[in-house]
Amino acid sequence: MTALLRADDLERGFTVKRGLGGFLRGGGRPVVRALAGVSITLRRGETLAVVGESGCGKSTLARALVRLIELDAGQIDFDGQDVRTLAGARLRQFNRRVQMVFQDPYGSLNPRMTVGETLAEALRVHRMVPRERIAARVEELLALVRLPSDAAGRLPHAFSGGQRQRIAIARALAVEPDVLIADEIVSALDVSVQAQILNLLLDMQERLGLAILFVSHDLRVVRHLAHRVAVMYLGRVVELGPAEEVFTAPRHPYTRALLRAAPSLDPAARRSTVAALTGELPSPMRVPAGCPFHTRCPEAFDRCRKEPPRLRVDGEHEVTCHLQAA
Amino acid sequence: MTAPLLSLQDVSVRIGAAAPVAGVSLDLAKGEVLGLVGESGSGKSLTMRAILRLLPPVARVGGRIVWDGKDLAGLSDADLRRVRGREIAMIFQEPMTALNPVLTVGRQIGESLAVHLGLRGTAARRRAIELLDQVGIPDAARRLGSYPHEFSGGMRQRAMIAIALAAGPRLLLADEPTTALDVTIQDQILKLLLRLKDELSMSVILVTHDLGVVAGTCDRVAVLYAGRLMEVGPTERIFARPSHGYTLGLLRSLPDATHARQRLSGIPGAPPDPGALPPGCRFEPRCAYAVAACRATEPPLARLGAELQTACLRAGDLLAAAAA
Repeated sequence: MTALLRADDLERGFTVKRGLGGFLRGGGRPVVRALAGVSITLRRGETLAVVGESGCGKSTLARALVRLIELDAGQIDFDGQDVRTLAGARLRQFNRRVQMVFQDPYGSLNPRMTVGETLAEALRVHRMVPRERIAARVEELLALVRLPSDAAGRLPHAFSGGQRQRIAIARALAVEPDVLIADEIVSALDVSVQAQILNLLLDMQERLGLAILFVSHDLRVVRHLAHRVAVMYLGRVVELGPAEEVFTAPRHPYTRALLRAAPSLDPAARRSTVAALTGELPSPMRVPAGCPFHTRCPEAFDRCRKEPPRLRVDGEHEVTCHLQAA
Repeated sequence: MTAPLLSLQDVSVRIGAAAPVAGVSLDLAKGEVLGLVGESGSGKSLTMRAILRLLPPVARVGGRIVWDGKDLAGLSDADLRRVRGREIAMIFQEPMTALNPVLTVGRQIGESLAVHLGLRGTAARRRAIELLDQVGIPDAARRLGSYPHEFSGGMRQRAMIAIALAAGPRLLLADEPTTALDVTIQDQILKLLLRLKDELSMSVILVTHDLGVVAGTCDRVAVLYAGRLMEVGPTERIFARPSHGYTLGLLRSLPDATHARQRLSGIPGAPPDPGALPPGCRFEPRCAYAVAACRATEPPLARLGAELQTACLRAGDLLAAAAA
């Protein structure tokens, strides 16, 4: 299968403001490596989920892919084009074909524009349909995401969170993209509404052949939606593989701990009283030497503390862990 | 059955003409972990705050809240203060808003120890170190001098639990204590709460929107919808065979491992506005099992067997279908 969107060795650091102590000690400003050599591919029509805890770099990755964040190094290739050097008409074309939806739809919708105006604007800017067809197309889009057609005349504040997320999705779909980058788009929603949005995404993918990069911290949702899963920790992909394999036979100790920590829906399966993982995420400004996970890893041995593990590829499954070397 | 530790009897919260909590009756046994679950706006946090009279004056609380034989609603503010914190403590979703940002954690624990137990000086310091140790904050003696902002989210939640436990309460009200935390930290905090509950023989009411958290932690569960209890019973029983259309809809909204990439049945529509409730059962307009009778009157929360209570006219049919 060919990759539609390919990211190679992405690097992005953010400098952090120094406190008074840091200022007095002098030296450079501390740098957080939000992306420390991330490589992923997204294939046509598939859902690739990116999971991890806060600060793992998953949102930075999503934003870097649509050039909302500039990279320090690395290469992004979309349908044979070098994304980082795109300009002019080609960049506009890229911006149309790769759409992003955010966690908080209220923050990404113009509060003073009616839903109809928002959708019409997207259609007009990218010249999707002739002027006289715009109103009809807006109606089609609202029907597509199952909003009533009178929604077009109302402002975003008149809608519930789930409805606003549908509006944001309708706007993304208005320009007929090939790729949807979804950053925690169901995280703020109640489960009954979340189910409606998940169904909508499955539908859209089936009908329009969308490729979806689905960023989420919710493993249950990811398992439901994803064809493949990438697990991130401290700016690195530690495991990437087919969803079924990652969930039933995880190979990285961090993936195993995440799955154990995720609350199960079966009360009978109430697990041990011991937490799945001890300790907290190390400060991203002081990433441990060797394997960055060794400070919390129940299976760490000598080598993990000294030498960063290299990526090992086994068919469709990639893991970055010394345990896999044996 | 012995007398319940806490008994809510027909508790309601009114704000203007609306009643975001309407007639909640619920018993809590000693040593029990009860999950109060519902979606946003279901009234679960309001119910918790009503117990300790932590609501703003515009909210009027009705009904009886019987704690240890006395009605909390009838207590004077001074008497209630002796219950609040000392006998019943509460922790919140966002520790940063509950902790005082300009006082060290040690000072805040010390305050609680002084007010409720009269402990001061070296004895208070020793007890504070014990408490931080108990909630799993490493290097406790040094951390007493830290400010809340110097803690991570998980450590702040631990510090808030330490403060809540300082006076040795018999009941802990935990309002979405892990919602803002990452899953591995959530797991640590939930395990911590369960361990402390046993060590200190406390009871816990855990408010959450996450059915996974309920399944993993709670002995019994109470399901709220639009301010009204839909179903109450043992967790295993309710997850296996829900007797209310809403509970069933909630459980079916959740993806499970065996049906990847298939449509979820979910619940259509959205919860009603508390000021404009539908006639009859308030879940009826969204319910897949509704019949004409559901629109006629609001079903009361009725006993169904020894351990289950349900407010669904179709409970019998739902249970029969689940058993088939």
